[in-house]
Amino acid sequence: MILKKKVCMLGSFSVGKTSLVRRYTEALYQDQYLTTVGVKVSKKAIRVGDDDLTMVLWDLAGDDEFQKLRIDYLRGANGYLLVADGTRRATLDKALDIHARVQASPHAAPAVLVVNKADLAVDWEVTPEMLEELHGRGWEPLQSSAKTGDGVEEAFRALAEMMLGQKK
Amino acid sequence: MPDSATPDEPKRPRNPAAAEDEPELAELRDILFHAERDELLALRERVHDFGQRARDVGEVLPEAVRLRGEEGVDEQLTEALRPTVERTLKESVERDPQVVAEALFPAMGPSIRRAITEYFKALVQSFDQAMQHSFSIQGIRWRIEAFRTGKSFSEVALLHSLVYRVEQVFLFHRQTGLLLHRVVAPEVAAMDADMMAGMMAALQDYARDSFHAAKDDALKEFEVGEFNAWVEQGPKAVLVAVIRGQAPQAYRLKLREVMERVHATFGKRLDEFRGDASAFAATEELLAESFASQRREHAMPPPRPYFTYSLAAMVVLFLGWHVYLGVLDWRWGRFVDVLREQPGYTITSFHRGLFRREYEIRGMRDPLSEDPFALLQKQGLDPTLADFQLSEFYALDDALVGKRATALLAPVPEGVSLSVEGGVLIVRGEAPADWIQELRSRSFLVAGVKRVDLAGLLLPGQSDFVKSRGQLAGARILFGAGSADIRPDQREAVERLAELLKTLDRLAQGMGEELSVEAVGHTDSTGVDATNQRLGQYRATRVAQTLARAGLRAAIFQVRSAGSSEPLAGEGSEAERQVNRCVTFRVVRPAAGAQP
Repeated sequence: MILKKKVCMLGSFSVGKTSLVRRYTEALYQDQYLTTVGVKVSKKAIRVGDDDLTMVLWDLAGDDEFQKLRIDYLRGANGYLLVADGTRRATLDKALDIHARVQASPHAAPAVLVVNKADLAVDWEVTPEMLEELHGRGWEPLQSSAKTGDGVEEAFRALAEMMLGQKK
Repeated sequence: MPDSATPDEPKRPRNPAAAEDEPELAELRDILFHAERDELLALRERVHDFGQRARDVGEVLPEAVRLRGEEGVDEQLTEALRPTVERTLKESVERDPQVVAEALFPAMGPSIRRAITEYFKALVQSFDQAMQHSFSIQGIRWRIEAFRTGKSFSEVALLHSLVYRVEQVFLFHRQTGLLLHRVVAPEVAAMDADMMAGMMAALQDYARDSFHAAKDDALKEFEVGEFNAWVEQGPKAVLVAVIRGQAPQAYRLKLREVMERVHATFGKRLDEFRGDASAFAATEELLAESFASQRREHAMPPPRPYFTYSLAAMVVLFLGWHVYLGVLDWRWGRFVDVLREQPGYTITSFHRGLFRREYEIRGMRDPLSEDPFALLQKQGLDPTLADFQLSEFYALDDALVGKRATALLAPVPEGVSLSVEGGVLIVRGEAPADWIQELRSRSFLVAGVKRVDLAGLLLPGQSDFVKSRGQLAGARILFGAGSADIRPDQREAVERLAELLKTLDRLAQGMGEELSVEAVGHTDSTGVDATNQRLGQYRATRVAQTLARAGLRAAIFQVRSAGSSEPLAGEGSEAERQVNRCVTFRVVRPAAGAQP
């Protein structure tokens, strides 16, 4: 069966959402977020079990003091990837905050938490203890590096399986 | 009642008479309404305090204005505010225009640019189309229509030639923005439909969000370059047509119809959509149908190949012109050949002008040769095209030399003929002596005459003289045997002879000559020679005397006897002998064939 799923990329400014998408897909558009609109759409076709899945990736502009996350963009999303930057602890809090907001909105959907910039692990502010603590709260945080490509495929695949599993 | 009394209460104390009249009542009132009275006093103070009142109004004013606005379009409020707002703006501009200018700047630049761009776009379009249709039959028809309907021509042309083509039609799920199906017109480079649909959905969200529009409002149309995207939003799905050019408004209805049919047919599947788009492959036919009808309407007449037509016409004209010139050249060439063979012409060059049709013919021409324009007309050619550059010369053709001689020796006496053969001028006929004199002196002035042949030239009367001389040579006066008497039967012959001699004498005198005639006496051979000699002498003398008596001058006669030595016939018979017994005559002068 060929399926299509809408996937959103969420997270603070500069955590590497776009880099992850670019690493994962063959990007069509320029790297700049489409001016003002605050979203860039890409896609990736993968095979999960017996299903051909096309993920339409909505790379949303970071949520910060300059740009507000347009929660409406999540409408109809089948899942989303929460991205945090391991070198900035605040981005992890922000990701959890976004998650809470989404779950409270009508657009609740399965989510996977990814802590990016694994290549800079030495400089990480996010400690293993924090991740451990998240485990305790039901999260399975993944680590990735858009720079080296480590963990990227796995993060998206995890989300894909979660979405399909939910469907079943 | 207390309601109505209360407002009056504070006024009472101002009436001193009443207060004094009823102090108890006042006291009672004081006891009963003490609290309210303080409140009233406070209220009165508040009403009379200008500052306080302004603060109060200020507090409720925004809310009051908002409430009025919510009730619908409020002309009164607008009217009330307008003069103040206008005055304020005016004063602000007067005081410092910079403030308003700065406020308007971000809006004005783009609007002005846009207005200018739109204007030029419209101008170019109208010009383009006008050019395209001006010279066609359709163009004329549209002009008539424009005249009839009072519209401008470009407006009519535009109405008739709305060119557009629906290139792609997307159907996407409204909730998720995921693509359900897409059809692409042939020969169109397809975009990535999934991403395209995603962006389209994002744009919808963005527009709605930015304009705080109601949930069901949607971006209906947007334009990028020559592309237009028309969006038709249904409750569960969104249809987007990507159109190159300007589609007519009627196409909006078509889209709506397709949208409705999609909902009618696939409504349940739209509800149940969980990412499996294969269920919507069946919309292909529906979506494609809208294509087909659009492509039929797409009826821009192909540009007429005016350029090709005119080029072909020019080529045909050019070839035709060259064929015409070729025929003309050939005819003129033939004419020049005729001219070359014509006596008195020498043609050195002949060509047609490069940028004109005239023919330049260079060479030489004898003035006495045939007129070239007359020759042209004989060939049926237009004399106005001829440009003869002919210098004059004397040709040595016999015919022209003859003409020249005739001209120079004019007037040529009647009966004289001039001809030239190989440069020899041959003159024949009778001519007066003085003309002959003239001929002798002038004939060598005629260019081309090498020699003059005057053998055939006679003086006046000379030919008659020669004729009469011939007659005289045959004349005989016959005698009897041994006799020198004129026989009666010869008298008539003598008379004829006299007339002939008179004529000869007259002609000779006309020629300026003295006539001299020899009369010769002959005898037969019978008898002795001496006798015959005498007898011949007698016979000749007798005839001369007889003629003199007949009126002829005696001086013209010479008499001689031939005896029997010059017989005119044989002596075999009497008849022959009779012939020998006679007198014959011979003109001695003028000499036979004498040159004048």
